[in-house]
Amino acid sequence: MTVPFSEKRIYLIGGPGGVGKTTLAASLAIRFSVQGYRTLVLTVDPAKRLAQTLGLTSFSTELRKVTLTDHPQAELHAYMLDGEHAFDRIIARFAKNEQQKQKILENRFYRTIVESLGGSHEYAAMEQILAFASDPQFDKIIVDTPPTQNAIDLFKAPQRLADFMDAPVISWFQKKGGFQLFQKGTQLAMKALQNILGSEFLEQLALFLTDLQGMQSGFRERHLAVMEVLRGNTTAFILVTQASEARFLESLEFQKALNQENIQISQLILNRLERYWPPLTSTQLPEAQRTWLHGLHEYFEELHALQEKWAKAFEAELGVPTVYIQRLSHPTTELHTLLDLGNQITGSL
Amino acid sequence: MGASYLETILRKKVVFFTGKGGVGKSALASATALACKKKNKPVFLVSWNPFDTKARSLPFESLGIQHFVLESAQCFKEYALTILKFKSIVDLLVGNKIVNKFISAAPGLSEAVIAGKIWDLTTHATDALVLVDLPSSGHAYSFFSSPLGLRKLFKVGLVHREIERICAMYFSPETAIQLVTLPEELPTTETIELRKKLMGLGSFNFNPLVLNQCLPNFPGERLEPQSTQHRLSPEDLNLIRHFEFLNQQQQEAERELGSHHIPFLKIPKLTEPEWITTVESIAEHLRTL
Repeated sequence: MTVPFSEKRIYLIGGPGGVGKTTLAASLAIRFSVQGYRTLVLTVDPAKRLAQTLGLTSFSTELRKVTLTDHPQAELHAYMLDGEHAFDRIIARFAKNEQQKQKILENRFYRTIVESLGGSHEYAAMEQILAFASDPQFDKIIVDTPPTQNAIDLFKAPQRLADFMDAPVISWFQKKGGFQLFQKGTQLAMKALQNILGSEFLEQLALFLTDLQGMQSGFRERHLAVMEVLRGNTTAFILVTQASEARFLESLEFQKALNQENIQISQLILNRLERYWPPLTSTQLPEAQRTWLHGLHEYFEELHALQEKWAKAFEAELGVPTVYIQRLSHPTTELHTLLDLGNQITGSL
Repeated sequence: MGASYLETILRKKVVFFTGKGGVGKSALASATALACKKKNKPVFLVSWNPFDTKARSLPFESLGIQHFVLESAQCFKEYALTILKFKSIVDLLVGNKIVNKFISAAPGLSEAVIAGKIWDLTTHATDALVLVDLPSSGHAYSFFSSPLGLRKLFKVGLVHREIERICAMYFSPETAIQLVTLPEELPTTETIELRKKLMGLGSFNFNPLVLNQCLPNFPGERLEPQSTQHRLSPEDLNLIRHFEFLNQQQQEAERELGSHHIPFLKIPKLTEPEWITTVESIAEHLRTL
């Protein structure tokens, strides 16, 4: 049974970087909270002025109550996703005891992985979706998900790790002379691998994997739980993008990748569409200014035409309910502007 | 006046294009390849997708440039062959399920083999220019930082030697990072952050940043809404205010870059309906920068 858009509980706002996901996530959250829903928005580091509007002036990963002037009764909470320590928190949660936790957190291999991955927003998002999905104090949860490519990673990463840790390769590492545990072919292959990577590399990895022992079922369960939330019929996956050929082709790829994970895009938002400008009507202008104005008009007319073309392609290929949002001529950081954007989204779905 | 965009690029052997997603990295890398080709420079355009999806959605081939998608599995295979020498042993290795899982999970390994492959490309075609279309900010950062992390882990051995080669390529004066961003607040601050983080890793060479999709220069005399308001119809005034707003955003982005002493070049937003024609127009424009 399909649940209407307005009755969903979790709204994932996905799409490529720089298309306005954070702003639209905030808009939708404000809209729901003004409507009377107890709402939570999980967001990344928003642009300075948007953060000011939400009252998130300093970065902190605590749950914050957002006070909306003009709407004092609205119950809106915001939580900033912290990618920096996402892995450490996952390890801390699944370690069997303090000793195992410390051992992993201090492992050289682990530190290298964590540091080289940089801010792992995707892991942080996953972690918090799970934590809050079961929290009854929120009626609506809006999630500002990472850019397209990382979003696919978000769905696949825990699976990859869990898969690997289930493999018999672990048991090979746990015993000296473990080559014998494998069939002949694998023994040879492992020796060849040792020749390429050197024994030090394998030994280091072995130590790391041994430290992780016993955690794989935790990872796997977590992965399954996240997937269940993402596929649930009270979850909406909203793709935010722009109307151009590159974004169109990318969206098709993204849709394919999501479908492979049994996740459906449920709504599409085409953001920042240049509006239609009527023919120029000012007649009192000197020649040079008229030339300039005509150039300007023609430019926006052409942008409008090309976006119309790709908006049609999106409609035809993705076949999901679509919201069209115009590019505004003023900042999208004022509360009433955000509320208006939120209304536009819910109003057309 | 310093060197032009193309002169700067043509002095290099490897240029890595990166920036926030959706800023036009692939289009700029492709346009650069096209412009270099017109100057009779042999160019390879290489893209890497950490998820190894086979299909690359953009129609690079129609542009007539040599384009490769690097896949870590394939690159690992080639690398293995140079060490193990025998194809039969390599086939045994990469055909093994357990070994494959191992390779895909070992941290930094895919980045290292991809970087190794790029290094190989530059040594095999010595006069060629390799343009690398990297994934967006986060993954681009790990592309550079993972091999450096491995370098700290392994002080001797085969892995160490390979990593040393890669690091030498990263910091060579013939290698550069080409950052791309849009004239808006968020992409600009994020790009400045990425640049800072990369500089924290080591002394990379940065080409002047490209501020993509700027407002074009319209011929004629620019109208100021304040002084000409009375001669404009309300709709026309709205159009000009729209322009003013976008222009203001762009100027703020330029000021932000300026305050961090980051040199930049501007490329206008084009109204070409297709990706291919957009790339061709950017290529034309690059010759004038």
